[in-house]
Amino acid sequence: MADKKVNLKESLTKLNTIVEWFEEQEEVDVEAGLVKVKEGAELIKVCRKRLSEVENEFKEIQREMDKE
Amino acid sequence: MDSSVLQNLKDWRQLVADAEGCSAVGIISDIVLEEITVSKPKDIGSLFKIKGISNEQCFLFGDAILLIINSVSDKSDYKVPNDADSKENDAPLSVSRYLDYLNNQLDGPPVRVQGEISSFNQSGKGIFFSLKDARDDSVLNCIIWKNVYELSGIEFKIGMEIIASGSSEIYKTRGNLSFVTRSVEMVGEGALKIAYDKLKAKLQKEGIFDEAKKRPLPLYPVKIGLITSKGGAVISDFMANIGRFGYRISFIDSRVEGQLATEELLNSIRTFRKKDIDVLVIIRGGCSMESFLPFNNEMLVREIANFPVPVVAGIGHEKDVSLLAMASDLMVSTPTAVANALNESWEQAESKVKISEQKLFGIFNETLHNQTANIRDSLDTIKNAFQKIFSDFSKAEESLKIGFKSIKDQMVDIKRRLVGVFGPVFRKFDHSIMRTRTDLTNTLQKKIFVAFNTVKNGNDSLLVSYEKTLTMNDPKRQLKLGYSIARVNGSILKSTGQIKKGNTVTVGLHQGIFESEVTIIKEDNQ
Repeated sequence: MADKKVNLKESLTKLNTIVEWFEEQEEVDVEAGLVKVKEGAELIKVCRKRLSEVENEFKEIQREMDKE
Repeated sequence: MDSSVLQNLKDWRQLVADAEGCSAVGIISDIVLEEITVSKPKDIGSLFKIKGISNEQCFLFGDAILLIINSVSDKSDYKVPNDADSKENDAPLSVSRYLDYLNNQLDGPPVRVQGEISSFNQSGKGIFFSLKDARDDSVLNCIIWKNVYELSGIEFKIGMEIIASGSSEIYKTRGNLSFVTRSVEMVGEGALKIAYDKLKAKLQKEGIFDEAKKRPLPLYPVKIGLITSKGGAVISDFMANIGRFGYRISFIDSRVEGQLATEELLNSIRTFRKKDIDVLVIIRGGCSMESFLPFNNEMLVREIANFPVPVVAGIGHEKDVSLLAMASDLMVSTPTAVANALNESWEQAESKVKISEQKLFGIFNETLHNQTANIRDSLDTIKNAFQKIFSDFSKAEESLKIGFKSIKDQMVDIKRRLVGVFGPVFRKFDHSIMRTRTDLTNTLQKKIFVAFNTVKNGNDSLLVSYEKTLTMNDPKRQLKLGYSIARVNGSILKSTGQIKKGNTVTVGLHQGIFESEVTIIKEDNQ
């Protein structure tokens, strides 16, 4: 769980760096941009997966709590 | 139905109604009271299940109702052995046994007694004090253990009016009746307010409420320590609003009202201190100032202020914010707000991802679009340029064709004109040349013939004389005349220098030759 938390934070930071890169460019180089976009898309996928994964874990935790 | 229990409940209800200044049925209806009397709930949980009782009523009056029902039923329980003892055995009891019996009789659920502190003194682990009834000077001797006293956060002073909760007990070695105090509360809004203000000022001075001390909630919290009352609607509000972000919620059920709440809350917080959690949450429903008492406890506040991870308090407030809430890292008024605060970073993560996605693809799409437009523009430019070239070429070709045609026409014209104009000229010229040639030929032939004839005639006499001369000078004629020609080695001898003694000289005569040998050479003397 702790790892995932760190990953989400890291992934978001990386994603943000990429977005900032795009915003800083006056004229985006298509080749370099494509590489960044691919990387960004991967990060978005990772983040989305994290966010949906933890949602699934929620029920289990609730059951554990109910048992207590 | 136990009518005495019902009556006790009604008496209690009347007291509450008088205090609140409203009608008795406004507090709790008769039907609900009857239902309570019949089902005799043992705890708050069972009380909640009673039809017609509201959450608020449970919060506000639960403790009191349970106390009344259970104290009545307890009394009826320990009457039985008393009767049995007196009937079966007339023998005297030992002092100890009698005191045990009395203590047994005195033991029961805590009773709240209100009085004025008339004396107090600390001795060992206990503080002995007496409560006096202002109306008739009745006195109750009390003891409070030091830890309970400290927990109460109340500083005893002579003349201070308090409510002590506990039960009486006979101290067997002295025979004194002492009221063993389990919790203390101050009486009256005024006194509460003073105590509250005083403690607030003290803690403020220490910097316990300082903004700078507040820690932000951790990003993406997972392990949550939750303290609240299990029976309250608060927990379901919290659970309904907490997002599905993979939280691991550890829950400790604790009273959040009444004097006993302080101790339970303190123990709950101390339990969580040892647990691995990201954030501690303390929630309860909003109630009157008096029910905030536990949250204004000094020990509790200090425990919160020194808690290892951030604390969120959602315990509501009216005029005054509870000191516990002020010492926490984040205070909000409702359990829903607590849940929202915990959800915040998670929800932001979702929207961060969304925004990043929009920006990322937005900018890149724009780039691609711009590039495509550039390419299209370039293509158009090229196309236009070529089209211009082609159309120019076509024009040039066309004009060239026209040019050629005109040249051709002109040439035809010139030819025609040439033929027309120069034809006769040439023909005339031709004739002239022909005639001239004929003329020339005739003239020249004549002239040459004449001239030749003239020359020929003139030369005939010259030739005769030349012939004569030639005949005269013929060497062979000379030979006839007796001259000879001497040769040596083929060469005609003209001087003696040409020969030497012994040379053979060939001498030619008119009709033959002979050879002679040179024997003497004589040169003419000159």
